Amino acid sequence: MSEKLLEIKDLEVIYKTDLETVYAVNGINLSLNRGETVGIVGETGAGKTTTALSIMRLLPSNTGVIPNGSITFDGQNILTLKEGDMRAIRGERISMIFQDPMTSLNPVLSVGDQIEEALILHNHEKRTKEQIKMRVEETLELVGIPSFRKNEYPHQFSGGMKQRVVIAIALACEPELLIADEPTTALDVTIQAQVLAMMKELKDKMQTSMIMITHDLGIVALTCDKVAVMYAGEIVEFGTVEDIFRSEKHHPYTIGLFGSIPNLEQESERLDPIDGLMPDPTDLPAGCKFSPRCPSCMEICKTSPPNDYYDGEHRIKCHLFNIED
Amino acid sequence: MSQVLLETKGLKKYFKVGKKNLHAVDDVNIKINLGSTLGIVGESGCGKTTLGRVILRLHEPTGGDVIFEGQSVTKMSKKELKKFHTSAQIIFQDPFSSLNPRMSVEEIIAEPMIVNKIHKTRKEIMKRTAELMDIVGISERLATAYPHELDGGRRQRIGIARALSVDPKFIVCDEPVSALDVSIQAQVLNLLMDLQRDLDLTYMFITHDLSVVKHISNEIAVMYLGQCVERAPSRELFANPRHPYTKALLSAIPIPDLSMRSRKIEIIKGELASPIDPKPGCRFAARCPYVGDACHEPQELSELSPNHFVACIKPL
Repeated sequence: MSEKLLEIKDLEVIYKTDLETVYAVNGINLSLNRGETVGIVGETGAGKTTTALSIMRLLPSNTGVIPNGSITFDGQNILTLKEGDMRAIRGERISMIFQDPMTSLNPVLSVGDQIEEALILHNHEKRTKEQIKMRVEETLELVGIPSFRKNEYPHQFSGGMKQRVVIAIALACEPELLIADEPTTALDVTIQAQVLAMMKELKDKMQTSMIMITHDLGIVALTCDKVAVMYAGEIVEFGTVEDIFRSEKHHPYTIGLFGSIPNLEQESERLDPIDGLMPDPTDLPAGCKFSPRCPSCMEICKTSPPNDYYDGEHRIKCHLFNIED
Repeated sequence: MSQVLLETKGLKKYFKVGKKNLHAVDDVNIKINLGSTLGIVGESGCGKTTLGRVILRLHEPTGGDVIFEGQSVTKMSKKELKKFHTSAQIIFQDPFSSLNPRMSVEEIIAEPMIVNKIHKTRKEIMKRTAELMDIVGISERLATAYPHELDGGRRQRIGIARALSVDPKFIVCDEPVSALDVSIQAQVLNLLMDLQRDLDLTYMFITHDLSVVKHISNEIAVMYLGQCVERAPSRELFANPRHPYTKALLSAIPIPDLSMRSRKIEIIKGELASPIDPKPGCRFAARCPYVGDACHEPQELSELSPNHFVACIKPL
C-alpha cells in the first residue's frame, strides 16, 4: 500500500524573461504514496500551481525553466523524458483538474466530444468507436451527469456541472495520479460540498492518488492524508493532517494562516492575521523567506536560510526548532 | 441602543428579461439597528448584491420602500438623494475593477469630498485625505501611486477610505474580502471592525463566506433566490438554524478541524432554480429534503422565537 508513486526532489522553477527572473519554486521535496491524498496549501503566489504544472510538464516553454531537481513518477524521472513519451503519461497516468471550470472547457465542442478526445488520444486498449461512446457515457454517469446530456455544450451547464465535466475528462483514462488545482474555489458552498463528496467517493473507488491544491484549510481537513504548507516557493511545513491540525509545533506561517480564519466554533473578538505582504518573487529576502513578516524573527533568520527540523515525518523549515536542540 | 437606522418594507427589484421578469429581490424585509452589523449570506445569484444596491438606490426598486432615519429613500428627490449618499456608502466587491485606473490614490479618495463639497479649500481636502489614508493603513508615500501598482489588500483599503471620506453612518460592504487571500482578508476584517468601533458605523455586510459573516455580524439574514428565508441574531442562527436551507448551508462549510472529518455532511441535491418568473410557493422546495404539499403555498417570514424569523411552513 505504501508504494511510492511520485517523488519530487529539490525542485526549483524559475520564470525567466528579459526583464526579470521570478523565483517561483525554490527547492521543494515532496513524496506521495499510492492511494494517498496530499494537500498543498498556501496563498496566491506561493508556487502551488507552478509545482503542479511542473509535474504535468506544462510550464510555459519560453519562460519556465527548471534549473535543478527531479520529479520521479513510478520510477521514471519525468523531467528528462522526451515530449512524445511524456504525452503517454500526461492525461493518461497523471491528469489535472483546473481551477476555473468556466474557462477550462472548449466552448465549441460538446462535452461528450471533449471527454471522447482524451479517450481517443490514449486508446491503448484498442477500443472501438462504440466502446469509446459507451465509456463516455459511463464517465458522465460516474460524475453524476445524466448521459443524455453528452451532446450539450458547456454554456448549457451551470458552474458545478461544468466542474463535474472537467473531472470526468480527467478521470476518463483512469489516471494513477490526479492533480486538483483549487477544484472548488469558483463554486458555491453547497455545490462545493457536492463536488468534494463526489471526488472523495471516486478516489476511493478508483484507488487514485491525489494532489489537492487549495487555500482553504477546511477542505484540507476534510480530504487530505498529508499536508504541505507552501510559502514563497518553499514547503515551510509538511506532515500528516494530524501533525498539521493537532501537533504543538508549527511554523509561524502556519500559525498565522490558522489565526487568519474566523473560527466557527469559538467566539473571538479579533483575528490574528499575519502582518505585511508576500515577498516579491523577483527579489526574495535572504535567509528565511518568511522573516520580514514573522513575529518570532531572530537575527539568524535574516541571514541564513533555515534547514528542515524533523519530528518523525513532520518537518518544519524554521530556525526556532533547530536552535532548541 | 436598538434604534433602527434602516428598514426595508416589501422591497422588490425585478429585472426585465425579454418579456419575463427576473425576480432578483422579492419582498425583502430587513431592519438594521444603529451601530450594528447585519450580515447577508447566500449563494451566487440569490440577490445579495442587488439588495445592497437597491437599498442605496443605485438601482430603482420595482416595489416596496426603504426607510433610512425615518425618511423614505425611494421618494427622495435628486438633491435629497445626493445628501443621503453622504451618509450611506458602499464598498465594492472587486478592488480590481472598482477603482479608476487613471486616478492616483489621493485623487480617488478626495473625489467624493470634492463632488459633495464637504470641505471648502483644497488644503482641507488634502489634509483629510492624508488622515483617511492613515486610518485605513496606507502609507503616505503611496499617495501618488496608481491602483495598478498596488496589491488587492491595499486597493480594498483605498475603497474603504473612499467610502469613509464623506463621513457616512451606514456602509454597505459588498463582499469586501472575497477577492483577497486569507491573511490579507483577516487584516481587512480587523480594520473594518476597528472602524466600526471608532466611528460608530453601521454595516450591512454581504458575503457568501459563513465564517466571515459569523465573525463580523450581530444579526444575519439568509437569502435564497431573492427572498430572505431566515433572519436571526448571529449566535442563534448558527446554534439553532430553523430553515432547511440554512441548515444545509451551515453543514456544507468545510471546517478546518479534524474532529469534523467524520461529521455527516448534509448535501443538498440539485442547484439553484431559475429566478425568472419563479413559481409561487417556497423557492427552496425543489431541493428541500423535507418538502411536502403545503410547500407550494406562498411562505411568509414569521417570528418563531424572539428576533428569530423563518419563512418555512414546518421549520426544523
